[in-house]
Amino acid sequence: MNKSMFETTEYTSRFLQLSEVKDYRQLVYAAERMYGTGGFGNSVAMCTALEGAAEVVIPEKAQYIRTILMELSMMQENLLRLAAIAETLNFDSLSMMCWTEREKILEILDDLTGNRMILSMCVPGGVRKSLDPEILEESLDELNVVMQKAETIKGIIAEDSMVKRRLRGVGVLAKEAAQGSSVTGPGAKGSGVDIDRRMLGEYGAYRNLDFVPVTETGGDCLARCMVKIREVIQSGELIRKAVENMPEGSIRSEMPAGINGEWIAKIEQPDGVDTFYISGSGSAFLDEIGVRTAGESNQKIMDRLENVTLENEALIRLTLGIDSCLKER
Amino acid sequence: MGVMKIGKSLMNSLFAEPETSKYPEGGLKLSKASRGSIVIDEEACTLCRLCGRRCPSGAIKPDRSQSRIMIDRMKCLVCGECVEECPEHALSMAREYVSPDPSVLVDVYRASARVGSDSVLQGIEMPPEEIVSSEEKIPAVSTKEVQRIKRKKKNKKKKKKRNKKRNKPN
Ligand code: SF4
Ligand code: SF4
Repeated sequence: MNKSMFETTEYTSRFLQLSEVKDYRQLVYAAERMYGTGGFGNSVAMCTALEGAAEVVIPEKAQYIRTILMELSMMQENLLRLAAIAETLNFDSLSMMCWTEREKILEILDDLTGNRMILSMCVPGGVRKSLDPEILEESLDELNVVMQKAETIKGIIAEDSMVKRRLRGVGVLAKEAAQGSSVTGPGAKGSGVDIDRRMLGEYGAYRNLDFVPVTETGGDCLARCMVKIREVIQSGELIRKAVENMPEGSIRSEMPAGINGEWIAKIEQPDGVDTFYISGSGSAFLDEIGVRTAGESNQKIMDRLENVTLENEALIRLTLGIDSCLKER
Repeated sequence: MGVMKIGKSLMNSLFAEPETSKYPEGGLKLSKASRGSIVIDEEACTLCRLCGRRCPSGAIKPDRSQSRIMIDRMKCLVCGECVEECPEHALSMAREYVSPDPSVLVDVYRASARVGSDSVLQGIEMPPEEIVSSEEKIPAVSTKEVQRIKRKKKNKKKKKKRNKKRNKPN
């Protein structure tokens, strides 16, 4: 068995073990901690599944708040991935630029929610607290600065000759191969396949925000990096739209004491689609719970890539989102 | 052209402020929405144990038999579940940072012990493993390990003695 595959199953099962002794409200926190750098997506997935199974409709404002936090979380994570890629390229100044911008986003998250990475904001039935409109305004100003810098980073990735020489034509995934496989996220989008769970509007307020996924046609590592940085810029625009359209109202719906039913929630994360399955039979403790993270489904694509060499393997894994050290705990 | 670019970024990096702050020298900067820490109002608490049942990490432990409430600051996620749950509003979040001291296992507060006066809450049973007082805390190393460490120390002493004997001039 592949080593990273082994780690994946091993680590995810720790969460599954916890699910035997914790009730469904407490499990959301455990799910959030499964994924070190961007756990908010996991908690949204878990809450969406719980709400779906309990047939609870959450208030519109809560959906908007989840969208804003989700996009901020995606932004910082995409920048982290880019920083890691630049580090692998030995392009340290680009890497540091990405870290700096990421730090600004973490500060925004800290000011909005009180936490930097593991936000503890998503609870079954809505969100924990509302976002302060004044702080939100200030954050938008800060976000403008980040967006300008993101444009600069995009220019560097698109034009720098060293980056192009290392990334162009490396680990090419053809469109047909991407369509016929389980790959999601930048792997699929970089090959011109426009699949994105946010389009379906199953969670968050994406249906009202005219969301169109970004795609590139190259299919190589460069295309996947471009997808990442373009997603950062797109996230910034989505946040601005969500703040402008945010409705008034409550932020929480009542959840039943026990969960009766089953549901599958699929959430778009920077690496692809994370799947959460839950089922319960009326008690606060869930009967079954299943998790499939994006890294697991992207892993299977490695043998369909063209132009894979040993020195490029790290880059290919980072751009595709197969990195068990950052995820799937 | 290239030189100009390099010069520009060099000047920018030379004169820009660092993005992160130095801690602890630079002092702690609390964010605008900082959650701070959990504050327990010992007078108001009726030891109903609801917070302990709701806490995701088992950090807060009301102990009825000893009429006290304990919080393990190292375990607390500052999620706020207990604050929402408390029917007496005895818990709150203060915007200040209580440094979790690793040498202190739990902060203990003596509650005003209106035990049994709450008829509504009778019949709720805490799982027995939840109630662990600070004295009964299991040591981090098992007894076997302790013995092993002791043996090692003894051996070291013996060796020293032996060495001393050897090094003694005749
Ligand atoms: S929920 Fe409130 S009243 Fe009940 S034990 Fe906890 S702190 Fe005390
Ligand atoms: S804030 Fe959360 S983790 Fe901390 S004691 Fe309360 S419920 Fe437990």
